Amino acid sequence: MRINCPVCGERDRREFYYVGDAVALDRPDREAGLDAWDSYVHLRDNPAGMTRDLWHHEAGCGAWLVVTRDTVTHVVSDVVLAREVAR
Amino acid sequence: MRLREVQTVPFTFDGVTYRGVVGETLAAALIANGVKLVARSFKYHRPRGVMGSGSEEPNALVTIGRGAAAEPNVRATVQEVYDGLEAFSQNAWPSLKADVMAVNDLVSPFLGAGFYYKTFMWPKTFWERVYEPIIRRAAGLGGLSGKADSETYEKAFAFCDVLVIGAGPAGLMAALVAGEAGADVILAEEDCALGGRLLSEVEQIDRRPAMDWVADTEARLHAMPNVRVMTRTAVTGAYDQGTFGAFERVVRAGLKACFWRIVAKRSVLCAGALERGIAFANNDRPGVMMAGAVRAYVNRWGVATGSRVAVFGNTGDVARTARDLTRAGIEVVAQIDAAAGARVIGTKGRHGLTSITVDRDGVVEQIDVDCLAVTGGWNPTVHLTCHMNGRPVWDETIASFVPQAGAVPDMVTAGACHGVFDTMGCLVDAAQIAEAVVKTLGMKPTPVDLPDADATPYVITPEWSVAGKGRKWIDYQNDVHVKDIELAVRENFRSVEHMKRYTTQGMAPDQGKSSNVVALAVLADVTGRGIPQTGTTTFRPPFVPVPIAAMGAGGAGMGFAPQRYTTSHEASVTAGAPMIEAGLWYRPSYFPADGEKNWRQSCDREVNMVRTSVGVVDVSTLGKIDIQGPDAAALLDFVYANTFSTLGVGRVRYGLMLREDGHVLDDGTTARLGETHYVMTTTTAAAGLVMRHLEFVLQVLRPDLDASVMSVTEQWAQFGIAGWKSREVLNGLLDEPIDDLPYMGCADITVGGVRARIFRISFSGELAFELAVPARFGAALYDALVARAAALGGGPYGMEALNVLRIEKGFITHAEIHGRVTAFDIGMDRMISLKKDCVGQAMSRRVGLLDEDRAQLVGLKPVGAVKQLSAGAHLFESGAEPVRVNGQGYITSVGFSPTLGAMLALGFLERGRARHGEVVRMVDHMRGLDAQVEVCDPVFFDPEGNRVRG
Amino acid sequence: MSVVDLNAKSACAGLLPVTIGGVALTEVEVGRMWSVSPFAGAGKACETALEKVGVAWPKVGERNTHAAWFGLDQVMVFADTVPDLPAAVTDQSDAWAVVLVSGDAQAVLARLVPVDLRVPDSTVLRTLVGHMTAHVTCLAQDQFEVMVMRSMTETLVHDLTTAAEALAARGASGGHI
Repeated sequence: MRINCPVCGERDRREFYYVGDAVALDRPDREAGLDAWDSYVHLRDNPAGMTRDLWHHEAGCGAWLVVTRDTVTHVVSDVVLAREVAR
Repeated sequence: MRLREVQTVPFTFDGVTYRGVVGETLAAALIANGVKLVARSFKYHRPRGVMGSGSEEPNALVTIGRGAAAEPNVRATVQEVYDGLEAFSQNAWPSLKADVMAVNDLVSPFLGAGFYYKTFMWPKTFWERVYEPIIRRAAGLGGLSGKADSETYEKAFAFCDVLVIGAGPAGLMAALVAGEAGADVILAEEDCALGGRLLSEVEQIDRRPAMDWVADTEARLHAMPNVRVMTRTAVTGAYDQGTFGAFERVVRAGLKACFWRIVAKRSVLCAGALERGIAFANNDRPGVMMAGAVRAYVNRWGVATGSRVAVFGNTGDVARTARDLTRAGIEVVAQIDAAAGARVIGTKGRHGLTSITVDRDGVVEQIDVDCLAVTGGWNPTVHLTCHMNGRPVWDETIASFVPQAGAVPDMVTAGACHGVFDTMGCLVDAAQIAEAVVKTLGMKPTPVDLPDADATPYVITPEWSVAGKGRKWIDYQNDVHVKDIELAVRENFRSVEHMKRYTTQGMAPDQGKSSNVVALAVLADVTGRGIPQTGTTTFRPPFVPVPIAAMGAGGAGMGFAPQRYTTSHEASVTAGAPMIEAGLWYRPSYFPADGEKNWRQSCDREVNMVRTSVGVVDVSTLGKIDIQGPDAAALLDFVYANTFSTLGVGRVRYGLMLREDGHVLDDGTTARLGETHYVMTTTTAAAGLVMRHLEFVLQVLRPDLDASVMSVTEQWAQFGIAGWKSREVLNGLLDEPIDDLPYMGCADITVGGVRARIFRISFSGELAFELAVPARFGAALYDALVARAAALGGGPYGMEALNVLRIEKGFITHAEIHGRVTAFDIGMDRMISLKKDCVGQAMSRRVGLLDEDRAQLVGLKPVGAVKQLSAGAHLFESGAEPVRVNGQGYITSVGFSPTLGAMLALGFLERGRARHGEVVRMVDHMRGLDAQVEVCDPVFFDPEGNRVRG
Repeated sequence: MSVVDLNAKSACAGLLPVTIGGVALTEVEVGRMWSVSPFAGAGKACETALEKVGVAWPKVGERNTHAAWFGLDQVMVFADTVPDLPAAVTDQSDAWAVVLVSGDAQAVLARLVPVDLRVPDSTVLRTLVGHMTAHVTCLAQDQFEVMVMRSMTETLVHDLTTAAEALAARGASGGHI
């Protein structure tokens, strides 16, 4: 698998650390209540199809990335810097 | 028998010396030496000879080399001969000719498909102890040596615009077109030479021998700097985003093989086709061979596969084979063309073919032969196109499967693997396809002159299985014959995937390359479903067997993981300290002194030394993260449970970090060096984790914060100096005294004129400092500190003593904060400041995480007859039966405290904080320990903390 | 007044130089170097301030005479000192093992680095060398500079040596008969 890092260009998967669903970007307010927090921390979809993940280019430039890919075809359709999504 | 004079070198097979030509295959050399019997089959131990001439070979598996260098299951049709090559047959005892397990063949009616499943069921316990060992001895292929492989392997990466897989006429043409268009090309060929089938056929291109065209093309490719030709390199797998695995055999050069990862923008699969057989009675005797292989031995290697040869098949290759043999002076005694109603219905010859029985429209005749060349047609080599879930498509005109278009992104197929079987067609197909490929790369193809080549159309009359009695073998490698498939269907294993698993059809090293299509055609016939509906089994990587040693090349010994050494490493090793691994780091366990016989004596002395004078320890392995920026304080307040914005400049504070789920992530101290400048210390184990976490917070959770983090772990060599004489050690060494530095204070200082940092922090409970200098001065400073400490009655101490010192003080490490504990569990929940948000705060307030019944950090000390405690032991109520349901906690750390004269432990116990003074039962089922222990405060020593402020 | 004289020891002391076949490994004396990460919106100010002392700001993935791109929002400045900057600045002079691989450098590194090394001179790659995170700089087509964490020096030398030995074992024939 290869991921096209917006900073470094296309690189082998071994340079990246996988975290999980990009839902991490939508951190609830600390007073949002336990249901919101439970959902944020624990509940994940397991789609056969498009998914948005967070990856860290740990052995590269150090950027956190939001990677859109298809779990069926393995096509990586979009890679953007997480901080640009978060802002 | 050889057809021409050659220079030969000696090699051995089963200890007998023969002579072969350097570079020819072992199979060719054995045939040239008249060796027909080369192997015993997997299950019935039937005598087998060479069948094919490539990596698809099912029979001729041998072991190459001996001892630690032995490699099993090497195909003799691939292994090249060299001077001194040693090869051994497999799966036969005491010898190939007199294999006692051949008795299996006599009882074969009982050993059909599913035999193991049905027979070795009862009693259940017999499987592991009795049945499996017997079966493993009786059946199987080559064995491993049991020793670490002594050969050298490597792995490497390669990149290109266009990867051309296979260098037959199509592959050569595709590489030529792509290369001349300016593309960066890799041409990978499994064989040692380019040419593909042209190496083995008698054909003309542009009215010259076809191999002249191959040589010319090879020269043109070599002249192009943008083309890289890799021979002996089998592309083994197609993976995501244009990544391919490839296995390169490197012969006798202090290097055995290389496993390549090739990344290509586009790929052109020109893998050719594999010949298939026909199932007829006793078609597995040594001497029955594939017709294409017979031509390869005669035409390419100059070796006769027999002196009286018959040819049986269903395509024009029958006549072609007979023509080539006759031209080579070999007698062709019969051409049996299935299309004309003639079939072979039986064979004779125990260790080698002696005769065949032929049925020509009802007229049965026995013919004496020593070789039978068989062809059932050709199957496009579709394997790589299936590695990403593609399914091949049935093509009636060639009676075979062709690749599904687009099955692998950016891969196209050309030539025989594309279903085009004549040489001219391959050249035209490849040129057109390569032109289209380079255009997709934005390049302009230059028109190539297509040479004139053989364009005889491929005509096939499908012939799968000849009617009649006897065992008609399909998968030679797994001893599967037609009846096995019929049995599978009778027992309702009708899907091709079920049939495969029930009969073992298509498994093992050859993965059914020459047998799968015949097997599923037979299956289709038995089920009446038709071949397209029956479909194929799934082709998975690797295309050819790849030794694990090649895939893991460079990963043994020092290559397994980076070894991180501190600047005091050499001094510690010189002092005789055994080094232990802490993550990737190596740290001294203890420093044995004269007369000390075991580690405990050294450890006790080192603990006493720190408690009574002074000790020096390298703490450089702890993570150090520099944090700067207008929002540095806000960042720390967000990542730590407690508050750092209120910390004064020049001061240090203990911090607790949570995960978002409310459990403890890490702990450590952070110093404020300036208004907007901090340096954070992490545990050794979590240094990388915390660095990643901080970057996550800055880039994902709080990009609004203007702060930046940088690891400075490697920049600074840092040493702990602990004990009441530590100030004296430093005051004699530093350029200025540090009498004014308060507890939990830090300062920039100099030592020997070198800029340094000092922190007054303690992990031992003693008056202690940590002194950091740039790493280049680390070794020298460590020597100076140790010498200075020694002069005052102290010295270095290792991890064992460090661990005892912190247990005596109840300081936690990742043994305690192991990922399942909360701040509440370790008694630190009040540290979580609610005046600000922080990672983990919301979830840490979940009711379940604040439950008084939770296991809480406690100290434990022995009070009964058993004085030994152990980490990992479980805690029970005194008198309770030590079974899981009664478990109330566990021990995380233990150490013998010379200070208190007893073993001490830290652990977690349900409601532990309310149970100080209670005696509980500690049981270690693994070590057979059962002790009475008293629950106490985790701080065993100097609970008032007077010494640290000393 | 100093009471102790601390001797400096370089990362590769005792390990390099070595030559294996057509590959030479030597330690690079980098002198002082500083990581510079501009604060929010201060990139231009840092660039201007550094230009005044003769240090050009490097482009992403590039190295110039006195500075190199080093990662997201991060450059490394090679100079004895850096001026006051609106940036996070850390001393990195001792944090790295820096090794020059010369000769058949591309072939040796192709055994360790998962990136195409046929790059223009002065290209900086943040990537892996074996299992180690690394900075790989192409100085010339036959000269690559490799930086890994200082504590991993022995492993770097081991990995480079092993790769070079395997390459040398292939010889002129590429390792075939």
